[in-house]
Amino acid sequence: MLFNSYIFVLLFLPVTLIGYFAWNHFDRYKAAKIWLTAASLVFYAYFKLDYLWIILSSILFNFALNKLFVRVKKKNIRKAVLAFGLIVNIGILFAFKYFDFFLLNLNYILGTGFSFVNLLLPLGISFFTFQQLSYLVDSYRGEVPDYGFVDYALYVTFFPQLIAGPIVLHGEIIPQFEDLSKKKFRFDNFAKGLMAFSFGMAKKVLIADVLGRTAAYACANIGSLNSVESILSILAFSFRVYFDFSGYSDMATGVGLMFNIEIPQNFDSPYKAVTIVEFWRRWNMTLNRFFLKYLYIPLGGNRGGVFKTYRNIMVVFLVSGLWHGANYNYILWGAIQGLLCIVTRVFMKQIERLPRWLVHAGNLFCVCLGWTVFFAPSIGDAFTMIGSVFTGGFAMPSADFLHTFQVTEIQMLLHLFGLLDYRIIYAVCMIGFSWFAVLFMKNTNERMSVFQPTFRKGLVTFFLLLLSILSFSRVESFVYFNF
Amino acid sequence: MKQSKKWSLTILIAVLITLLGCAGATVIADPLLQYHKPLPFYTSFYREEAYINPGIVKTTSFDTLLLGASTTQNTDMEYFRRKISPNSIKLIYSGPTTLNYKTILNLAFEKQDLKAVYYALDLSTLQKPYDTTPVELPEYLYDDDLTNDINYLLNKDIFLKEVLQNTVNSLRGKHSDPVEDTETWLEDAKFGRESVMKNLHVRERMEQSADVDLYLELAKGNLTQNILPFLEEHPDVQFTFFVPPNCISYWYGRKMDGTVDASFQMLEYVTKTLLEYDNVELYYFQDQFNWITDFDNYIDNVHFRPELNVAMVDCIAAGEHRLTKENYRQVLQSVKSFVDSYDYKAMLEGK
Repeated sequence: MLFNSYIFVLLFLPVTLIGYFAWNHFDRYKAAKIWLTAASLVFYAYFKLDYLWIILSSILFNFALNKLFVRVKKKNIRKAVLAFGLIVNIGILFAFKYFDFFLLNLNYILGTGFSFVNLLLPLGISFFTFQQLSYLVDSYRGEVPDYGFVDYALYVTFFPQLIAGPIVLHGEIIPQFEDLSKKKFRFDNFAKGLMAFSFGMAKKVLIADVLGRTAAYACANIGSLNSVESILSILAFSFRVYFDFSGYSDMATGVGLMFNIEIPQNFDSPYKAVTIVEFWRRWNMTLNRFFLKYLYIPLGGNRGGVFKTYRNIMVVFLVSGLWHGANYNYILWGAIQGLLCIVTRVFMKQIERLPRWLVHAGNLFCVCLGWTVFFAPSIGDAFTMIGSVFTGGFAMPSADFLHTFQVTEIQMLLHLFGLLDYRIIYAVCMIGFSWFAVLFMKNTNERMSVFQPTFRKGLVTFFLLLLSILSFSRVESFVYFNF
Repeated sequence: MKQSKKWSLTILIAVLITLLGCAGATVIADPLLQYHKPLPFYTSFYREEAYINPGIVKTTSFDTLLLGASTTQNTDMEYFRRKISPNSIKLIYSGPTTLNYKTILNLAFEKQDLKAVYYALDLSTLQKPYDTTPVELPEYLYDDDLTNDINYLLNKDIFLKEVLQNTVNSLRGKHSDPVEDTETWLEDAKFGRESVMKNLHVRERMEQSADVDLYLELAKGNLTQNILPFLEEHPDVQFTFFVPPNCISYWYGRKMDGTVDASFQMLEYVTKTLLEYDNVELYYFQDQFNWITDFDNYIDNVHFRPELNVAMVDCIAAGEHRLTKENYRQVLQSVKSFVDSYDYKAMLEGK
């Protein structure tokens, strides 16, 4: 199930909320947790029923290992259990996500002809696997209380963060479900959550999905884009990923708050970051927190000298790249990010002497080019697109390209003012607003921290919610007039 | 807390009321004709064929269907009804695949008592994969499942552009018939050599060995999956296929990309297969050499004057230019020879 769907907004969410707080109202706290866990599994299985056995098996397996850690005290056995748990969890992730990529490389290197397995990737497997890995390691370290099965299952499956993060830690979530003060429905949290949900949904549906059309067009026509189209496409990639991902995180935060559960922040206006190092403190913060705690620090962090520090940084970013997908684009993207971070650290003193706006512009430039590598169909295509910026020729984008930016509300305004022929206005509006939003507007978490239920905020929330719901379904226009 | 409660409930109720209002207005206006015929006082001019066609089938009564692409769009239906069948309608899809036609034909056979289908066989349609459509079809409009109608009733594009805009047009006294007044590309069309030459797009040359097999594979898929089942399931329905006349410039493109042979082999295969059926007639207009070599008839490779649509209707009514088991090889060969040997150099030089 998606947040941006009729069934979620008009049926699933109201029913789940009512059921959860109804059980709590009658002091049936365990029943409330079971209700929420069951609802979360319905949310997950709505995509595909087959996914259910994967997540249930994963939960049962990791919970059993935790119980072993509680009972077994011998260090050797605990280490063996940890190793076994890590191998199985990562092995399952590998099997579903990376096995065909592994075979592809094996066939290339060894000249073998192994057939691909083509396993359908279970939704959110990267997220719930990492979540359980953190739980497994903390269990081994003795940092996990003896949770009951229902508590653990709810922690893993809690639907706001199940399929696309944020990656929450057990210590952040489970105590909140135990907190008696959070058992009663609270309108102040609901109001804040509603606002966050509306903003998040608007970011996803009204901006990211529109820019997604441009991104799809660009990927299908890389060889024929002119310079202006290439620049707009690169910007579309860059804004689309931000509004899509941060929009989803905002919706997760908002929905969590409706249940009185605070979900950690995942994005902190990353495009306002002046340097790449700062960017990575603001982008996908929970993933970076995971890598910091479970990879960077165990590797030695910055305690082994300069070379080892840089090595550890590169390892983290290579793993991060690979985590995003089984593709050399992602690995290269990760390597580029690692390299940029290292270079920034090396030359930090010199960078600090430069004008701030220049450093910021340079950082945005590097980030946008990085997204091109991330989203292009292949590495070659990424370089083709980047090359087209300089060699494609400056000309007005084609009508087909500009059509991808078309939004009904803007179209109606243009119709009113007799400006329908000026299609470039769509691109100017979408890209222009995106720049303004990422550089100058408050992010949703900032809005939540100062939230007051005012008339103005109510009006904005009303319109964002309404327009978003009415945008779940759209009319796909036939654009090409080619035979 | 009280302020938050009032704030939250006000927003939720306002959103709910507005959504119900949008849905209600859409049901009443019903611009896509899903629930009722067009209201007499309400104008509805809908441009997206994939969205309006199922509604036309659901709410209009007909026994003859003319199905085609933009090349068939300008067929004068008053004339068609006089010459062919009085109880007929035209359904057009832009850049269609046979899956578009299959989907609407399924609905038409379910809702109507069809006696005849006139089916345009544009070559480009046969060259597309059978399991794709140019845009994703709004399946919620092609079925009778009311639960998925929420995609229609709470749809910003439909509400703003069709319900609201058409309401304004109706109040201004404008009137149009969504069944008859479909959009036509004629409005801005420029016929003649300059337009044809400007729209001359030549593709990269295909591998010689691959193109014939590929075209036959595509044609086979389109026939077996999306066309032949109708012929077999409805032996009492007359299916009349017709191949519109592409401009000679189209064949210049095929010479350049090396697909003339493949195109004719594909068409021969399709013709042979279709003519096996007793309820099929097939008409072919590519041999109208005086039409296809006169650029004043065309705006590009394939789109021609409405007069040619009229002429095709006349021919079909009179049984002229019909391919039969006895003559199709000879006719196709003669056209192939013509396009193979045509003086394209002179064509490009304007001689």
